[in-house]
Amino acid sequence: MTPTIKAEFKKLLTVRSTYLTSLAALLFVAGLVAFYGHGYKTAPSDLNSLFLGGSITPFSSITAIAGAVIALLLLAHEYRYNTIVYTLTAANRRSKVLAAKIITVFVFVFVLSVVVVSASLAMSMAGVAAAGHTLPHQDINYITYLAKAVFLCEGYALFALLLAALVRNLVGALVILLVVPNTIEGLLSLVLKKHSVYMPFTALQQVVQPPVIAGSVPAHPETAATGVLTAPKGAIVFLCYLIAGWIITWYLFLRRDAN
Amino acid sequence: MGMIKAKGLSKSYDKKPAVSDLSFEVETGKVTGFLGPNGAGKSTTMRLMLGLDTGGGQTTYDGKSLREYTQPSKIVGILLEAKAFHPTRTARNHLRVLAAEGDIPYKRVDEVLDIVGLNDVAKSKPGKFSLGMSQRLGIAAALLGDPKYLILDEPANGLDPEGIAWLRQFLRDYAKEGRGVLVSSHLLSEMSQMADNVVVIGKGKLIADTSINKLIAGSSSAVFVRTSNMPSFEKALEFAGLKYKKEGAGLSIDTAKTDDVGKLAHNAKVTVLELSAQTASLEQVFLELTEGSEEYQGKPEAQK
Repeated sequence: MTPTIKAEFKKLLTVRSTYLTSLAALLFVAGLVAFYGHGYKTAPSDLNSLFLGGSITPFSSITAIAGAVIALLLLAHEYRYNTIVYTLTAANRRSKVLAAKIITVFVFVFVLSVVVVSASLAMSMAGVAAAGHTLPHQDINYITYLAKAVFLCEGYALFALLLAALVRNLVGALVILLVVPNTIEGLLSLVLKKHSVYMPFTALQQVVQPPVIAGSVPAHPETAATGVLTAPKGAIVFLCYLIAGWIITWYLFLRRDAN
Repeated sequence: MGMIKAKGLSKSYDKKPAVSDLSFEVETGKVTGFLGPNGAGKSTTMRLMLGLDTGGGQTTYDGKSLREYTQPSKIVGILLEAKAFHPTRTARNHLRVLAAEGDIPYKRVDEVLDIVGLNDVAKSKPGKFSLGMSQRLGIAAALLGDPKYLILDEPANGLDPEGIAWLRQFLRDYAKEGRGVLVSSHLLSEMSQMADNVVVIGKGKLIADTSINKLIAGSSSAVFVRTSNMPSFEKALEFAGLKYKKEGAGLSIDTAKTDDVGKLAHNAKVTVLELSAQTASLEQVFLELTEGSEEYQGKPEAQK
């Protein structure tokens, strides 16, 4: 199993798309979104005690997309360039390959999300300072904040990997990854109304709902208004979908032709 | 002595059989050629042998399935497609990934790059490699684990004449070391110089599994003869019940031996000016064997 994991990391770290996507996420989230949008341009009236806590949704959501794309490419590239035949021949069990990919994606996305989200928090504070404002005492538990952000990123990444294994086509998997969470679930929510929170990505998004001061206007009312699940419940609902999806994907990965 | 044993391999696509109950062996110490027309099922058979495709039958390597080995890369090296690499991952990194998968030390990567002559482009991205260079990279990948067996699908495609000669010698030497090589190719002249045994398939079914020499010897042969008096000799042939056809200034006599034709000429009192056995080439034998089993056939210009 160790050689297979080592090989997966080697695959991940020897293609430029991994670095470009990671760097783009870091520059975009920490630089543009955090420093400029959620720091430098923030009105002094919005600098309350939940200012940093409210940044979890934009920071983690964009980082999650980057992590998901990297995860998807790790497997989709194998099908696109037919290196999957080497991968499956070298491993005496197909399950080893899939397990190694999950572990690799998990570890990489963990590091990516911690780095990008932490850097974004720091850059957000730097942006406020650069604008000449003073940030009040923040009511934030950094561990919980990071844990939620990491969960969102891991959820997206493992879903992306599942898609790549299921669809086995780079463009197809990428389109589904970008369309299902927003467009499809958005349309379905018109039908499902309040039950829409039980859809996988809507549920996952509940995990990173920004905190709200009792009796006050939420930092992001448009998203907070739909959140009727607590973060743990949202996480459990999403995990149910993810596990069910992986059971089907794993079964097919073992049964189908290599490509 | 070990060998690869493929037994009862079968595979269908949409109920159309691609490979049907195919059994053959790849012996160590020999190069086994794998021949068949386009669409005969050669690539599918190789994928079935490696467990890449699901289907019927089983393949054992020295009595065990590939799954039973902890390091399959050290048992069998494969080349199924020349361009099977990430175009922006350098050649060396491509091989390092494969080395890591097979738990093979990285120093072996430079060894195989040296063997196939790609040391100078080790740090280049293979996306811009020619087909010949890609084939060499694929062969390097197959050799990484210093495997006992090689399964190569059309490895000579795209190689220049020097490359083909190198490959031929390399595979023959590889087999001489007591290893087994299964190689498919449509370059029949190459195969006749490279392979000891041949497995011929058509429409997914086994047509022949024998040594090249036996295959050619067992095919229809003819004798070419030119005499001082052709009309008299033709009459003698007809009297002896032998079929012949005119070929230039002489005659080509089917299923005959030079001794018999010589005696016949002597009895007919004609002087033999030229007499030679016409041995079929591998290409002729192949065409004879696979006649009617081609998946795709072109039409002669005259029939268009």
